[in-house]
Amino acid sequence: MTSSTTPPGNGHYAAASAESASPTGRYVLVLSDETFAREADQVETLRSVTGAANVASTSDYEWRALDVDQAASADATVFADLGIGTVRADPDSAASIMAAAADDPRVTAVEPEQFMYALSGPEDTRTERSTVRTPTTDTGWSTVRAAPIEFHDTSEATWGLQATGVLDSAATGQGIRVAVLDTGLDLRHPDFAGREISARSFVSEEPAQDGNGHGTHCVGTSCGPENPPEPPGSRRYGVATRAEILVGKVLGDGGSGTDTNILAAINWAIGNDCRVISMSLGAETRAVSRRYETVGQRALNRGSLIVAAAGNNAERDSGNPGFVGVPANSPSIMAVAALDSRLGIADFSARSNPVDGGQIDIAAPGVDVYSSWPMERRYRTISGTSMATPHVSGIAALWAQRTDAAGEALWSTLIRGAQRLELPGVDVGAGIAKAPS
Amino acid sequence: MTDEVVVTVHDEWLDHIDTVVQRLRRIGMRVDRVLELVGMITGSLASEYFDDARAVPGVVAVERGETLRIPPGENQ
Repeated sequence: MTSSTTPPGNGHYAAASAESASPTGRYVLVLSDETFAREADQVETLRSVTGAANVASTSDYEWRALDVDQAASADATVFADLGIGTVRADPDSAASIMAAAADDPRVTAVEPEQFMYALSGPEDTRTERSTVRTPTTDTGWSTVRAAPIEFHDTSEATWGLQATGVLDSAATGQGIRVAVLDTGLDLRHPDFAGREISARSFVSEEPAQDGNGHGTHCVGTSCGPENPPEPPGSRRYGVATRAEILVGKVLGDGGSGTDTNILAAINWAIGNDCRVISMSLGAETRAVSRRYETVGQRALNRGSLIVAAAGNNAERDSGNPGFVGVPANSPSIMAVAALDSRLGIADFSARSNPVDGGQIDIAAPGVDVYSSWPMERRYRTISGTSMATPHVSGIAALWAQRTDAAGEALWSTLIRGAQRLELPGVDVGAGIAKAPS
Repeated sequence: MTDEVVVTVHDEWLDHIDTVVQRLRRIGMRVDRVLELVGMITGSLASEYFDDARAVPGVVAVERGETLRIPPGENQ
């Protein structure tokens, strides 16, 4: 995170009510990023906001490990590497500390300190007597099942944009380059008129113009416009509406292409500083390819994240979960599974493959996905992990714009931002990709 | 028979990829593309010379080129 989006003095402050009284008698102050940058400021902030005369700092201790007994004699303690302070206060002084902090841009939040419990339940830590417990599979987590959901395309937007939070996001991918390596793009499609597009073919004797449709559909999902032009005035289907689009044609109009085309196009995309490279393609090979793993790693090192379709080789209704193929099975390439509009796993969506790296990393809408199609048809609704992949690529561009993250950092941001689902990790990885709010 | 081939070059040789290319040519590889940013060399080579190519300093892997496609079920 490069900057705090919270305006000064407008952060989160626990109300000084009876409910917020601290069970430990201590309160935790979260210091602003600006204050965190300078340790002397942290100590001074804690002193001035809390009125504590004696402020201990973790940097005073060897190895920065707080001596609990020494700290106990201090009124307040600064955890200098965390930008966190704690202060002992009775409820009345806590109320005045919170009031002071609310007007002070150096403090982001004040919260009562909490007791933390082992997940087997608070009663274990509270009872004095030890009891023999019957072994159980209960992990202590209670899963709260939300009401069954089902998303639908509306006149405003596709179900996929709703389910991934894209509609609620202010990010547009502006300033971020996204490469879509596929069958090309219908360069005359009216929905892309006026967009910044560089197209190049890596297939001999075929121009970048899409003679298949698959590429146009994928470009539409990742980078389609915010307001498709009227007439006919379509619902919105694109994620990163203002990203710069690089179209690399690596699959011929027949739908296949060689490694040579694809590697050359990745090289081109990296050379053009594409933050995201979207590849809705693959081979039905279980073993990890040395070349794609190397390429994935080198791309990440240069700030380009490769996102690839897990594959459609499952037939889950018949008991066949399939497997992630090349190149999505490379550890350094993000493998995307497909979800349906109830956020269930798609029947065809491949499961993690036991080879090292052959796992699903994340999931996205991939059933009945409406997007652009070459003219005159203009739009079409189709299904596949190929349709899930550009949702993730577009969302990656939104995060890249919002956080300036690239490469490994962008990977982590996507995974951290994903919403966990009550489905096996081997099927959906970290869950459904979500846009920054 | 001659196969489409992808040669992966070691990180430490990326600045000397031209040397690797020259040595591969000497073995008989027809080099189509030198992809410097990703450290790959693509072209074609008779499969009986794959092991010779693997012995070239700086070469990490010599793999037969594959055909990748739109995942099945989507292209109708």
